[in-house]
Amino acid sequence: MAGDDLVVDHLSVVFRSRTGTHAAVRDASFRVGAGRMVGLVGESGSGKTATGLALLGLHDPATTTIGGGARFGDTDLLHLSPAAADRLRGSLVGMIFQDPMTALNPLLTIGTQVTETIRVHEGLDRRSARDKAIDVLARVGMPDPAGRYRRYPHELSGGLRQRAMIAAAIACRPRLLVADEPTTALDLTIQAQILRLLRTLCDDEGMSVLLITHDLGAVGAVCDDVVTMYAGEVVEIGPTARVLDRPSHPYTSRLMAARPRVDGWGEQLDVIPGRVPSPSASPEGCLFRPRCREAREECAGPQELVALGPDRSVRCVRASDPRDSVVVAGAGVR
Amino acid sequence: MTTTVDTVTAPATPRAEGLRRALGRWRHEEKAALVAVGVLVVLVLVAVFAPLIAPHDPNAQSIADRLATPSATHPLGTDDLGRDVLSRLLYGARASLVASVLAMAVAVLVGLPLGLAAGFAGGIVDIVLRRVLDTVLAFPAIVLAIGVTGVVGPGLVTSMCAIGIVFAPSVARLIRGQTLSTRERLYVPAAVTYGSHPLRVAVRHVLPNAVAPVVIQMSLLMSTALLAEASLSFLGLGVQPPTASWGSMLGQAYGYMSQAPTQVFAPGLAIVLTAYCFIAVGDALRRELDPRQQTF
Repeated sequence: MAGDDLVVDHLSVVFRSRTGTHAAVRDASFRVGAGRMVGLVGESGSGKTATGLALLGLHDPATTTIGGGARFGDTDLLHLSPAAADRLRGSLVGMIFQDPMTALNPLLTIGTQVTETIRVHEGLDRRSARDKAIDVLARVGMPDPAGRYRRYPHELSGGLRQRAMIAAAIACRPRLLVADEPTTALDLTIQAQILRLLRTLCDDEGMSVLLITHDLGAVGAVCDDVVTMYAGEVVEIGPTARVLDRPSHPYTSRLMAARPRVDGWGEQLDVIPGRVPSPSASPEGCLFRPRCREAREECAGPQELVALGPDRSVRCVRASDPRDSVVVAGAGVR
Repeated sequence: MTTTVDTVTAPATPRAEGLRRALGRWRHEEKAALVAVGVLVVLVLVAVFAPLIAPHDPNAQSIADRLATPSATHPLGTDDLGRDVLSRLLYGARASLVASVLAMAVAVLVGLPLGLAAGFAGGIVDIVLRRVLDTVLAFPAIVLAIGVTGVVGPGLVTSMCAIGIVFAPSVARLIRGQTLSTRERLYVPAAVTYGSHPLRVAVRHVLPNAVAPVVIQMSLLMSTALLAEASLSFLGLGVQPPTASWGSMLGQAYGYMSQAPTQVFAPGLAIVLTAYCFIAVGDALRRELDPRQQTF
């Protein structure tokens, strides 16, 4: 299993349209170690989902140009023939989606959809595929898996549907699971259950998980590492505990300060003013500069992702400057 | 949660239960459609069992009795060659219904795959297919059917296939539009992430979710095809004598309008009634299946 790392190397995703090109992801590099769970965080429009879709080759080549590289172990994920891509999806790389209400086909039973992955990849006959699917449903914590196998999606609650979705994605034990905001559409207690389930899959089966989310609380609870994206760029990478305790990029710290908190009753929520610049109208230099409280002259120049240590890097001029220390009050997540 | 109870009491096939519930609702809300379904069922039975229930041989001529008014032996009278109109009407149901089903089937078999391909593949495939379909759509159905029969000779099968080809673009356009919107549902890329081949995704995940309006269209096409068959046979391009169809009976009766004006009523009413039944069923299906009119 050693060496089964996801290595994303200078990945770019550019959407082409009649009005021009829009870079949704630019020059993104990060790594998901084997059996690790990595949180990919950022606001809407920061390129998280575009990154996840690129890893599974789900962008339409007619409208999207993908540059750079993404490898999982020995497998190049970006330059695959359509047939090879079909073989890998579901068996090497799986994906779960934000909204379990719409990510399951309403006309097929839960069982049929979980079995689909198994039948496509393992060519089992109906009976053994069924037994295996019920096993998988049990593994994702579906109560009464044999009964639920025959149910239609509309007969299940949101949490159970998300479990069914996860079951379909992991039925053939992919080595990498891309989870695109898997908990956003669920209520809080169910969110915790689903996150715990993903963590368990990661620990027990050595599956690598890329958790795409804007919920730093979720990241703090289950992820080993954090990758922060802003406007299509990776701005900070590091181990969860250290990044959340002492964020090095002002955007990460502002994201954390902007979380609503239970004990913050009556306080003004510290929102980040402005919005993510559109890919076609990005500012010069640091992309976060117009919204950053700490912006200074050097920020107008080009920014590089600078290594702060063996497993930590950041794209901010202030981070490598020992005189500065970005400390935001109450930034710790746990 | 009631789910554990459900597992015990719920029927094994939720689909069958849904159908039963829909029929129960139709009994109150769609009485006309239920009657129409009943008429159509009777019609199919009549067509199938015509040899058993017809009082006479539909092709047996009796020139002496020609153009007779209704009587005990000939409940609907006789035509210009002295053949029993009732028997010809019963046998004619066969030709007319088979012709309608044929044209509808050709339209769906040609239109459905083309529309699905255009909508699912998009790009150049879509552009080319749409131009071809628009070209076919520009043909008046009857004109193309006349052209085809002119080339291969008159006959019900060829002319109804031609009618079906002309109907195909309307099915294709419908399914293409449905495919375009269904393709954007999240379960389509989700099925791709299972590793399914695009063809499998299109047939298993897109088509069943896109097909409902086509079912409605099918029943409306049946009525249009029935009228097209009547027109073609009326013009002498459909069934060939002595075989009876409602259209050919109407055509012959038309020639004797001045001597026996009542002759046109039997085939004419049969055509109108059947076409109306198809439309009534189609309308009820639309109320049932159209998501925009769904009420909970």
